[in-house]
Amino acid sequence: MKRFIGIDNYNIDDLIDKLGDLNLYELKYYVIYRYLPLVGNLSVLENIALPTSYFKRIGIKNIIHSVERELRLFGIEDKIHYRRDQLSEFEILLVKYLSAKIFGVKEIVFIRPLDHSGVGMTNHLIEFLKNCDENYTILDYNETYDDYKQIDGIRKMEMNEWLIQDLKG
Amino acid sequence: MVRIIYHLGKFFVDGFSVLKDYLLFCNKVLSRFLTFKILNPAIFMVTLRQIYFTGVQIIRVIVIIAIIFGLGLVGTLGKFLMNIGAYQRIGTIFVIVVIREVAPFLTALLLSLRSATAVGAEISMMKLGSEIRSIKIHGIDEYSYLFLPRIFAGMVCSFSLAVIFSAVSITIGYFLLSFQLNITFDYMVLLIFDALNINDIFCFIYKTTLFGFTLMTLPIFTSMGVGKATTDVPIALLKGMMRVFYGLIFVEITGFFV
Repeated sequence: MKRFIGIDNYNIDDLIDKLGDLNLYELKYYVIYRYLPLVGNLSVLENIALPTSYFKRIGIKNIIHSVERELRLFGIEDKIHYRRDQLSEFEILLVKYLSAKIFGVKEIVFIRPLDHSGVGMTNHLIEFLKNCDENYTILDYNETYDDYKQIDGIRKMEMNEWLIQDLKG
Repeated sequence: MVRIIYHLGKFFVDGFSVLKDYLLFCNKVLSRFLTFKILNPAIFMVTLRQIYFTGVQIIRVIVIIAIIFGLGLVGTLGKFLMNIGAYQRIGTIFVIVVIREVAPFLTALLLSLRSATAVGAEISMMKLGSEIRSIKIHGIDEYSYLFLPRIFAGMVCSFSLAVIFSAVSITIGYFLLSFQLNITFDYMVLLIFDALNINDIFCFIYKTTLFGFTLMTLPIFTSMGVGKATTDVPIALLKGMMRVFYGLIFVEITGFFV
């Protein structure tokens, strides 16, 4: 399920806090937003493994192979021990995505993902979103919808509908 | 006069408000400690890393300072006691000076200078850069994941390093004495253990663990006050280190009554 929701009349910080409240006891919604950074003193591997090892109590040794496999798919397996400041914006987005994917969250919430794409990387990001199999919701300004329209099966939704139906108020 | 009363009142009200918040902070940390959150694999990994940064990396410095201290104070003190014919008191004096006072305090001082500043700066930057918010939004409790490992490592390292400090300084002091006097190491250890009572051991544990707790909790607590301005970071560090100083004095004074 892929959805686009316009955020023109909403405060992003309030929405993020709401999602944080829903994650209080169990990680359901993984928020990918440029201003919610990775932990700077952890490596790519540790950042990806963090939710899984924290919530599911699985040690890094048991996750490392699946992390390596996923990183290989994106051609960044050599960066497994890199830290945040050694990665590009797009690679940071990939690390966040893999963290959510390996944990198996209910839904990934991309907030203004184009901020992560950098100059000339928009097509690359859209291509990534097209191939992304997980359930996700994109929160962005309505004027950017044209960029996302090419994603197969994406549905535009009203914020209120999402808040009431999915986030329960 | 009114102004003086106003400022005095403000000083005390602000002070008590900070103290109340700090005690609430400590309560949250201790509740995580008592529910064994530290056994969570993610938290345990951070704890091991913090023990390495706080304790293992500083061992060389501690040993060097303990050697200097052993040569300087213990050697001189021992020699002085020999000269006045009071070497039977050497155990008591070593226990009081090294084990009860100097080892816990010097270890805490070194850890404050090295680790408390680092932890304060790290947490301040994490707060400023929204990293703490990020992990919180994803359901990870910052008290369990970020603060508890650092505080626990501070307590463990403060205790362990003080033990190492005591052992090294006493051993070195003995070597200095053994060049001139005819006492064996086991005899000196016997004197020390004879002088050591349960109160001294309790005082040592009290001081080292509480020093470790204080020198980690105060910078972290202060760093959590950092807002969105970069200028908040040096202010938090400055305040945090001053609070660590007051905290060390508090523990030192209360240690007299143990």
